Formats: sequence, C-alpha cells, structure tokens
Amino acid sequence: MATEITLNDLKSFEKDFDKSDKNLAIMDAVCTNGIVNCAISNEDSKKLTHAFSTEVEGGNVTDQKRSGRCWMFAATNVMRFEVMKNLNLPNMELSQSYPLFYDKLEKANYFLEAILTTLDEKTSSRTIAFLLSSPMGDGGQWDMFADLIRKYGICPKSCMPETFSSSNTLSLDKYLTLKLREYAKTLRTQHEKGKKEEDLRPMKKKMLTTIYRMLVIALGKPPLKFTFETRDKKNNFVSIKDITPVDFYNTYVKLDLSDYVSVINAPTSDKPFNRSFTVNFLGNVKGGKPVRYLNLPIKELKMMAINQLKDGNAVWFGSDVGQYCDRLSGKMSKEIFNLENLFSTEFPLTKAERLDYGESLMTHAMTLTGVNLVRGRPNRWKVENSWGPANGNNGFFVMDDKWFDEFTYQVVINKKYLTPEQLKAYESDPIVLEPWDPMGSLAL
Amino acid sequence: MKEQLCKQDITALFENYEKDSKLKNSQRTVSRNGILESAIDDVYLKNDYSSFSIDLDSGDITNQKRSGRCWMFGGLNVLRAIAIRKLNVKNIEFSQAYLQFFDKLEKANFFLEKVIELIDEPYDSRLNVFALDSMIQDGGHFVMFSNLVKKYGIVPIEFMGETKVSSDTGELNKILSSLLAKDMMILRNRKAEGVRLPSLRNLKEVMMKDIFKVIAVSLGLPVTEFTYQYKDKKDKFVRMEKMTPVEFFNKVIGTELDDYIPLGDAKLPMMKDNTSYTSEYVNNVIGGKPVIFFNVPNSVVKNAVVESLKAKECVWFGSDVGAQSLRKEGKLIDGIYKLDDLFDVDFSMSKYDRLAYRSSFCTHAMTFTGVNLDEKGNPTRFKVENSWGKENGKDGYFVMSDKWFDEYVYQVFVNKKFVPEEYLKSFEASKPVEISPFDTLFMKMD
Repeated sequence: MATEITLNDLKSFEKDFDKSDKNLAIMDAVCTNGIVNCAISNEDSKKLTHAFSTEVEGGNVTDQKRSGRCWMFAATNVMRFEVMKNLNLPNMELSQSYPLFYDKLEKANYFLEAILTTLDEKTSSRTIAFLLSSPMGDGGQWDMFADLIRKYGICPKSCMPETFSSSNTLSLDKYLTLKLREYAKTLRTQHEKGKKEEDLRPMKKKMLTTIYRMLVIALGKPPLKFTFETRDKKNNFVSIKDITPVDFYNTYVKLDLSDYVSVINAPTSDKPFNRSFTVNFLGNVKGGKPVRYLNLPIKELKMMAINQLKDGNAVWFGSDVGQYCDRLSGKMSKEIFNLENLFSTEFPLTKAERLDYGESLMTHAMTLTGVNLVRGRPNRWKVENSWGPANGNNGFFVMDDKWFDEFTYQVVINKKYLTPEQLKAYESDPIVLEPWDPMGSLAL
Repeated sequence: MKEQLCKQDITALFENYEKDSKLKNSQRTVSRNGILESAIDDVYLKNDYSSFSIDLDSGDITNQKRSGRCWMFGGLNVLRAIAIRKLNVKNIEFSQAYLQFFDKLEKANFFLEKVIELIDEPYDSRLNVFALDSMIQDGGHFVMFSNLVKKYGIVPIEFMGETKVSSDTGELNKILSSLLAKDMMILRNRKAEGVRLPSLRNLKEVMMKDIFKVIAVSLGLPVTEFTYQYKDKKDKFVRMEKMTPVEFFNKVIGTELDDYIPLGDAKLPMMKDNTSYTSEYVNNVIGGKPVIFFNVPNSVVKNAVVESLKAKECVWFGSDVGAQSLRKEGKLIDGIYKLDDLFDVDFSMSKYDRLAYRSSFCTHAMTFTGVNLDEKGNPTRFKVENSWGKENGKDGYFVMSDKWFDEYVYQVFVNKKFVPEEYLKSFEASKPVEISPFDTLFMKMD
C-alpha cells in the first residue's frame, strides 16, 4: 500500500466487504439497531443467570445519579450493613453527600499543597499539566474514603440527604475547578515574583474559606451532631440522640479500617507481584495515610474475595465497568458480546497489553455480594451496583468469572485473609508510581 | 317502514330522539368522556372487593405484553402455583417464550398438514381461508398448552427470557403468515402437476427448515438442558443438576396434565349437556390430544372451581374478558356499564343467544386464584390472576362477580377429582362430536 489511500485501495476494501453476504445482513441490522443491540447474544446472555450459591445480606439498591461517587456508594454499602446488623434494621442508607462535602474540601487543600510543593516546575511540565488537568473530579479510592471516615465519621442519609448538586455534580465541579486553577496561577505567579512556599501558605486560608462557602451553598452544611430515629425489624422505635458523625461510626459501624487493605492485580511487566505500591499525588486528606496497593496474581485476589464472602462480608472492588457490560440486563461478560463475529475481526489484547496501551483501567467501584461456586470454583459473581434499581436485576449485576480475571483490578480485603508473606509484602516499602500510571486511576 | 329510509323516516327518528330529554344529558357526557366511561355505575367503583375468604399463593404477576399468549400464561400460572408449594419458594416464573417457540413450530407443521389434507378443496374454500387466517396466530386453548408441555416440558424464565419479538408478536406472525401462504401455494401447485403425497411431505421437510430459521432468529434457540438453582423460603440453597425441560417438569410439577377435565357452559343451538364436541382443525401438535368442549350445567362448573380452590388448586378458565369489565380497575362485574340507561335501549340477550349470534365468546384465558364464600358457602366473588402486568387491576389481580361468572365464563379446566362422578363417567364415555371450527366455541383465546 502507498502512503495515501488510493482509489484502488478503496475498491479493494469494498470488494473485501462484499465478499461475504453476511456483512450486508449485519450492516442492515446494525444501521437500524446499533452495534451493541446487534452484538449481544441472547443465547449466551441467558446462560448467565442471577442465581448464586453464596450470597451476603444487604440493603436496598442505591443510586449515585449523575455523580462520580461510586467509591463512596460502594463503601457505604459495605458499612451500612454493619449498622443494619448492629441496630437490627430492615434497611438503611448512609449519607453519601456528607463524605462528598469533606472530600471536595480536602481535595481543594490537597491540590493547593501539591501546587505549593511544585512551584519550581515548568507550567508545561507533565506533573503540572497532570495536576491542572482535573483538580476537582468526583472520583476516589478506598484508602481516600477510609481517610475521610477516620477524620469526619459518617451519618445516616436522613441526616444529610441528597441535594441537587450532590446528585448532579457537574456544575459544582466546574466552578470549583475554575477557582482552583485561578489559585494555582496566583500562587505560581507570586512565586515567580520571588515569594517562597512558606510565604505563600498563609494565602491558602483565604482560598479555602471561599471553597468552603461554595460547598455549603451547593451541598448544605454538614451536621456536627445529629439525631437518628427509625424503627427496627421488630417495629421497635430506635432513637439515637445528639451524636457526632465520628461517634456514630465508632458505635454503629465499628469496622476497624486499619484491618482493610487494597489488593490489586496489575500484570504488566513494570509491576512485580508480591510488592506494594503507592502513587504520587493521589489522595485527598493531607496528613492521612497515603494510598497503598499490594499487587498479587488474580487467582489469589479471587480466593481472598471468596473467603470474605463466605464469612458473610461484602467486598469493595474496582473494575473497568465499561467493558463488555450490558447495563440493561446487568450482565458483565465478554461471551455475550459477539463483536468479533459482528465485525469479522478479533480483539485479542491481553489484560497487561490493555493496561500498557491505554485501553483499560479501573474506572468504577462496586460491591461483590455473592458468588456461585461449582465444586469450590467460582463461575459467576453477584455485584451490587449504585445505578439504581432500573439497571440489572433490581440494581444487581452478574459478572462471569472470566470477566473478573480480565477487567477487575482491585479488591479490598480484611487482613485476616492475607498470608503472613502477603502481609509482609503489603507492609514493605512501596514502589512509588507516577501520577499518570493506570494504577493511579480513580473510581467514578 | 319501507325498504329504504325515506325523508319522513329520518324526520321521525329525529323527533323521537328529541322527545327523550334524558338522552340530551347522555349526549353531553358521552361526547366529552366517551361511551363506556359515561355508562359506569359508580356503586361498583367505591368498593374494591379485594378480600377473599380463600386466597391462594400464586407468585408475582406476569405480563404477556403485545402478544396473544394468555392461554400459555394462564397454564403456566397454574403450574407455578404447584411449583411454589412444592419447592417452598416465594416466587418462580416459567418461560413463556420457550413454549411460544414450539407452539409456532407445531402450528406451522399443523397448518402444512391441513393444507395437504384439504388439497383437493378449492384454494378459497372456507376451511382453507380459515387455515390461512387463524392457524399461525398466537391464540390457543388449554389442551394446546398441555400438548406442548407434555412434549417439550417447561423451563424457568431465566433460561429463556422475553425478547423483543416474544413480547410483540405482530411482525413475526405477519412474516410466518406470508411464508406459509407461499408454502400453501407451492404444495397446491405441485399437487396439480401430479406430485404425490410422500413427495409433498418431503417438500414439507424443506419448508419446516425455513420456518425454523425464522422462528429461531426471532425468538432465540430454546435450551435443551440446564442446571437450576434457587433459594427457598427458609433461605436454603438448592441446586438441581443438569436436566432436560421434560425432566424438570416431572421433578417440580409431576402432575398428569390429562387429568384436567374441560367443563364448559357454552351451549350453541342443538347442543346437549354431558356431550363432548371437538374440531380437528383447531390444534397445534399433530398427534396431540384434541381440543374438546364438554358441556355441563353452570352450577357444576362453578362448584368444581370452588372445590378446586378449597383444595388450594388454581383453575385455568376462558371467558369474554372484554364484556362488562373495567381493565384499569380490574373489575369483571355484570351490570357495571348501564348502557340500557345511557342510550335508553334494551341490550339484553341470553348467554347462549349471544354465543350463537357471535356477540360474545371466549376471548381470553386467565386463572382463578381465590374466592369469597358467604356464611352458607356460596361464592360471592372470585379472585382472578391476569397476565396484563401490575398496572392493570389491583397489582395485576382482577375481581369477578358471581353473576359475571354465570354470564361470561365459558369453560374451566379442573382436576378430575373435583368433577362429580356422574359427569366424569359420561365425559370418559362420550365420543366427541365433530363440529365446525367456525363455531364461536373454537375461537382461540389471546
């Protein structure tokens, strides 16, 4: 072939297309119904049923609406179950706008601090470009949520309910970002004029005062103390008066967050297994615990998840949900998308290749709440999502085991399911990853 | 009056109408609210009559959507009530699309066989036209349901869920009709060219391959084996290892479907009680049981229904659901529409006269799942499970007055243990009389 596409090339492309009359039938079907509707195989889809041999209990399905708070929803879904158990409640939901408020405030501070420690870098450098690209997204990580909980606690949803902006974060993020980029410019310009980091830090207080005001206007004031009243399963009246969010967490959720560790599966050549990793500039709470991941083979991740589920505890996990996922039926499986047949081509990239070539990374956090075991081996997993009851099986999704292998990157596991060697590897000095590493992605 | 309507006649009709002042009121309300809405007797709207002294566990309501599969839904609703009890589960639903697949396939074969049988009749004879018009459509009878289940078994809905086409059958029926019309033409042309029966059947084999393609592309392929697992009411996990749909039926239902006896109250002129009637042109499975009407007094029909419900068995029945009914509110009450008052016209006609003159007949199959009995044990109203989704009726359930049962229920299928000895004997002894398939008895329910 020449460098340009010639008329003869076009003719040969068309000839190749017309060679198979299957292509014409597929074209007609796809033009009317779209690619996905024609690729999903009903035959294969019905084999992947929503029935599981092991299931953990939980509450009603939640809805993150038009926001990127999946990581908070997945975490509060794990935590609320503890409240339901401890208070014997039929259902309850924890506030997701309460952690959202403090996440935004902490992210603003984290960003300004990052700017203050990179004052000598060129504005066109990759680090500054990275910091400026998205200083106020909604996304997050398990360790970031744990930091918020340790510092601010949690409250029931009724004590800080949804507002327009918590359910539709677009405009709030846009104007906070506008402000933060302006502050970055101010700080860096002052530095060019000769001011040092220590001289500039006092300016931060005024800046954060403005950010706080914007947050309160959009989300309402978070409660410092609240009263929670409801009825339990036996219809008894439950009244918890004048409690702080931190006391509420310590009394009714009680999960010891230091027991939970992030285990990842990143099979690329630059990341050895059985090593721990952290990511530069990834976080929200300054002074909190930096994120830390233990990289393990996928088999070991699954074993731990199964053990935790068998003991009745849900598992927070991160995956690339946009891959081979039929949102309507709530089925995640490469097998049900007959794309290779549809286009007469293959999509052969491996998990490591997809990570290296920017095709896939962790995009979304959900909760594993069940698994189907056949002779002790998993063949599908039950997933609690936060996209409301209209998607999937009343909001629950099913993932086949192959999908888990290919597109799940992270599970959060209680330390007791780690071997002593794994625990030692987790606690060893972490390898520091660049902020733009695919393993530094945030769940939305 | 003369043959034609002359000017004086028209004037007289006008004058007669103007004279009746009540009609002015009717005209005003009807023009704004429509006919039926204006005729509703609101006494019936105030009470929802939704309590029943016998009220069976029957699972979540189903939805046949834009299809004529009521008879399958009704049949499967009877079966799942048995399964719910047997497996001790809160709910289970069996695949309607699975039976629909084989119904279409069998109906196509049935049609082609009838085409061969009628090949010496003119192409536009009444029977040939009847075959073209009705044989591939969605409608059916209880026996057609049991013919399918006996031959193909059943599967839980997760193994063959609804598709766009199963829920909206218009396109598929139209395409199958045109394909079958072409096949009929080919078979008849070959016969005229002197081709003999065995070769015509070879031709049928080729035609069935094409029919299968159309059905399979539209509805997907049915499963042949599956592993079913569920949790029962006590949260116990149960796994039923690999089995065929027939084995599944035997395990979770196990009822002998031939034990369900048709009891009818649909007498056309010259028909007798205690006699069976059938038509060989109304069916789906060649080699299956014939569709039979067995007429008995209405009181025997009703009593068998009440006895079945007392024994916790749901009952499949066919009725004229469009008559004297409120769809949205889910009420089947004779007298709910005061049309006589609204128009000042006498509409009365007896049940059998309506049937003979085609103003009412079985149009729809549903399931009895409860009854309210008064202190003497007489039924005052029945609870009806419909397949029109939760938006109609009370969460999908309808209530039927006792009088409506008398007037618009034409047939029920009950287990033979609830049929009085004398009737059972004459049913088993009676040889079905072949009658015309055009009679209102054989209108298919959809």
